[in-house]
Amino acid sequence: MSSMHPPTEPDGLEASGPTASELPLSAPPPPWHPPIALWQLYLLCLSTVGFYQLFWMRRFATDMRRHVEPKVRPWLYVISLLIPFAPPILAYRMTGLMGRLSNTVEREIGPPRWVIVGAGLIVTLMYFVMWFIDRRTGPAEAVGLVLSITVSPLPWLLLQHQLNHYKRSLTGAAWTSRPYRFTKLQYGALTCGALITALIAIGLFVEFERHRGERLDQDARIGGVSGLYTLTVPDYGWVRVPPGTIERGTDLELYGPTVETWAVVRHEARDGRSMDLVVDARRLLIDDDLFDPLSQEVRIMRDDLMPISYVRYRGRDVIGITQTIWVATLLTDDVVVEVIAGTSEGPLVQGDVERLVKSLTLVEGAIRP
Amino acid sequence: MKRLMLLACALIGFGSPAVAQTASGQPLVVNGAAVEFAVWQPEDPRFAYADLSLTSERRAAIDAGDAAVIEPLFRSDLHLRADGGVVETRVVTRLLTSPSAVRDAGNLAFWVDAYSQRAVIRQAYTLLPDGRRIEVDPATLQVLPDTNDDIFTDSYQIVVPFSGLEVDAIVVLVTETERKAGVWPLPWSRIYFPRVFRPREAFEVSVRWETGGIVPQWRSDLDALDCRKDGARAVRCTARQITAYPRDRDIAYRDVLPTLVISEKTTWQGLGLLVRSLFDPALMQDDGLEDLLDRLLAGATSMDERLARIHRFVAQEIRYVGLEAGLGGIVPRPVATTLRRRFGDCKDKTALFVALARHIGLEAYPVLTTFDRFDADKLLLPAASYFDHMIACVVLPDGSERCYDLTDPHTPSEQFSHSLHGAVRLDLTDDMVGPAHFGQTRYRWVYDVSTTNRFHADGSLDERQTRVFSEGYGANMRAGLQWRNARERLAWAQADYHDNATRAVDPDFEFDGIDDTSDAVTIRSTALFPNLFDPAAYDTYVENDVWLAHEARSVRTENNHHPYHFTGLRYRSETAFHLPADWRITRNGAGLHFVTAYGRLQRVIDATDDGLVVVTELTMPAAEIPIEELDRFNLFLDRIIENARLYVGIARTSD
Repeated sequence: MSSMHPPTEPDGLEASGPTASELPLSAPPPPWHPPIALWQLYLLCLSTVGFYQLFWMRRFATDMRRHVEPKVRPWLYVISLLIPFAPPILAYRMTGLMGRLSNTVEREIGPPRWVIVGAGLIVTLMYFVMWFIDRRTGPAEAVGLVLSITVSPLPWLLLQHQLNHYKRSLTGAAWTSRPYRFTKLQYGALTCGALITALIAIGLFVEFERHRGERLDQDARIGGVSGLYTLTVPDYGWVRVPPGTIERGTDLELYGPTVETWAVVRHEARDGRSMDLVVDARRLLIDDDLFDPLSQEVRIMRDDLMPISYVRYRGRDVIGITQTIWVATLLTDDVVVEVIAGTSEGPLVQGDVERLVKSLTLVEGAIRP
Repeated sequence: MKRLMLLACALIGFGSPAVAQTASGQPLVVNGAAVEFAVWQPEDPRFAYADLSLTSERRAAIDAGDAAVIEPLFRSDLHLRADGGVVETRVVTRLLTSPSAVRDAGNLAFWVDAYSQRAVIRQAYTLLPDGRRIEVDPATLQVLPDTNDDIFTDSYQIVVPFSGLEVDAIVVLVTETERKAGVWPLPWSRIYFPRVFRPREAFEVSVRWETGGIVPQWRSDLDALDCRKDGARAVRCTARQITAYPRDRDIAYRDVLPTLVISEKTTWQGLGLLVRSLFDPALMQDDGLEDLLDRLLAGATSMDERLARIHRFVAQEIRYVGLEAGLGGIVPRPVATTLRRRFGDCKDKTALFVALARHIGLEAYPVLTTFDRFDADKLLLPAASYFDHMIACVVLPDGSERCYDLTDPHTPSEQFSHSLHGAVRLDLTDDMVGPAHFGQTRYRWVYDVSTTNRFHADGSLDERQTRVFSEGYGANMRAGLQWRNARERLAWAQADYHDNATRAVDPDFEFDGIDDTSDAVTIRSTALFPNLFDPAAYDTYVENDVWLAHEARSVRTENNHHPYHFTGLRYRSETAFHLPADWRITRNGAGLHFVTAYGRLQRVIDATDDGLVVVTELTMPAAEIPIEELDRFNLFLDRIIENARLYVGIARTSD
């Protein structure tokens, strides 16, 4: 039981408590997150499409709360990072904290404050330019994505540079993990990031293909390889890509202003099928792609007495994004022509998709009605 | 004993000779008795095979048209005698070019009116390619009375069965028919159809008239017919190599076949006055009309109601019986006689109606018409023989006209018999100027269907359906159902349901408006489909708007050569689907918006508290569909049939 009591002086006086010089021994300073090479940080940011910046911000803010200003709330910094105009403000505050840290050691470290704040300002400006840029001209979205991934970490790299300088000057500091080494969590992030990057690369490839497509004028009448029909381009920003780019076995393929908007045209022998049968078959295929889609069908009759079915499907895809798909189906005695067009964009683009699908017209004389 | 009786019947009915020997020829025999109006009196044959056979080139040209029967010669020589009598010598020939023609076209027939005519068979034989001639055995001649139900006439059909027929045989029949002078009060007329449904190599009609007799006028709308005066009192019309007239199903042939009309000179007004002079006396003897009207119109407050009661009485309580012997076919009986007998033909009923209508202060008049002619331009000359029916019209207090076919007991009083919509008419009024047409509604066939489909959680479906037939469709259905008893109506309705909807159930049926013409005809049905679906797995219900498809199918035309006189269809169906409390609609079928020159098909689908309701409307107004659009018209109907499906996706609310 005696071992549970505080140690006593040899003269038998009870200790009154630890002295100031004894405090570090009994309460060691909290550990730092280890320094990380700038290329490591940049790689993590790139591979996670920028998401690692949130983790980095938490690490930075935690270090500042532990060693500079206990009032710093890391979660507030993390959330602020999601606000487009926040980077220069964050950069200003974070360089302020770094300044207090450098005052502690009485030396200047890293690039000056205005450079880092300027970098934050550039990131914010980049966001706003992306917001207002006309996405229908060129591969703006892909460029924007690449820019945001590559440019947005810049202010934090500069801060990390300052921080690395400072941390290298510390002696005997405790690190939460080994300096300049990836942690298991970071390795995991890198692995996931690689997958995400691959997906994005595919997306960029699609965007690239779209960018390579033939640009179409508004109201232009276009036809497929078969020469059976025409469609009217509903707006500018649409491009024609080679059949097979979006889907196999098509006769005509188009991208809208973004790769989220697309259209394909298929035609095949009718083989005695009724309109009901053809529409039902397409419905089953779309049911596979969308979760419990709502559908609405109307059939009209053209001057040549050929009915056309227009069906609008709306539902969420596998990653939860709401897709609107329009299908026009036209039957002649011999041929079935289907225009299938979809978008995850808003009402304006949905209207364009609807107009495109409803512009389906058979080329006179190409098909026996 | 039984065999002896059968033998006796055979002797009386069939075995007795068809002619009886007399000095002036052999009278034909009906039921063992010689008749005066038809005589077998052969003369020397005038035709040999070579006279009527075709050259090989001509034959080849006609064969290309796939004709099995060819008429080498049709000839009619009319002699209008000074005493007013008319003698027609007619030569009818047929070349039978195939075994089927030999089987099916080896008899020739003609009609004789025993009251006013006498017919003599002058020549009847078969000519064979090898030069042989085979005379008709007079014992085989058949004399058949007019067998129309409820119509009794003096008309007899004389059938000549030719003997010794083989492929490429030619049959020849020469008859002489005399219309007696002074027995027929209406102007004489004769209508020929130079172009018929088989090729004719020669068509010849000649007329010669004597001073003091009938002075004829003639007119034709066949360009190929060449009519020339042949002296001061003769005319001769000829045409050669007349191609067969194409057949179609949906056509009034009298409106399209080219004609040659030869008639006694008169005007439409003169003809009208003459017919009125035969009609009006019937109105004079009107005993009992006042009493009838007192009884009939008791409590009727409006003119419409009075007219409706008079119409219903004459149309429904005076049954149709036509005593057309003698002049009975053109002179109506006194209205008192018709009232007493409670039967009459079209003009008897018309006379009674006109008399009753005039008694209540309306201007009423008879109108001549026919069910077979809808083109007044085809009435080339004034002639009574264009018309075979009489109806009555009245001028209502507001000045409008309403007409009544009193032989139609199925059409409501406020409607005009749809069979006569658009038909030619000759008003027997002072101000008549000539033939005209009856008006025509836009929709002869009006059909409303209301269906409630109630799904039950146990997998059963309860169907309640109400079908309402209006306008001409109502009259048509009433005519088809009225004569059936309750059991027969149920059997018919179930068979109709099985043929068009499903054989899975035998619904119960109720009928309204069958006997009462003031209502539309309504057929209600209820059907329970037990175990229709598995509630655990069911997700889609599909059925057809079967009556829509049925109507579209029924108004298709098979015409290929003639415009189609489409009489108009208006169809509406309202189908409601009700789901159990814990079920929901997941998707529905196609809305329709078909707008064409032939009509409009609309389908609208609306959600309801416990399901949805589908409203389908088809409107196709009456129209003349030109030949070049027949395929498109049928295609539109096919599209309707293809899009008749009703589709409902259903699921449990919890799914």
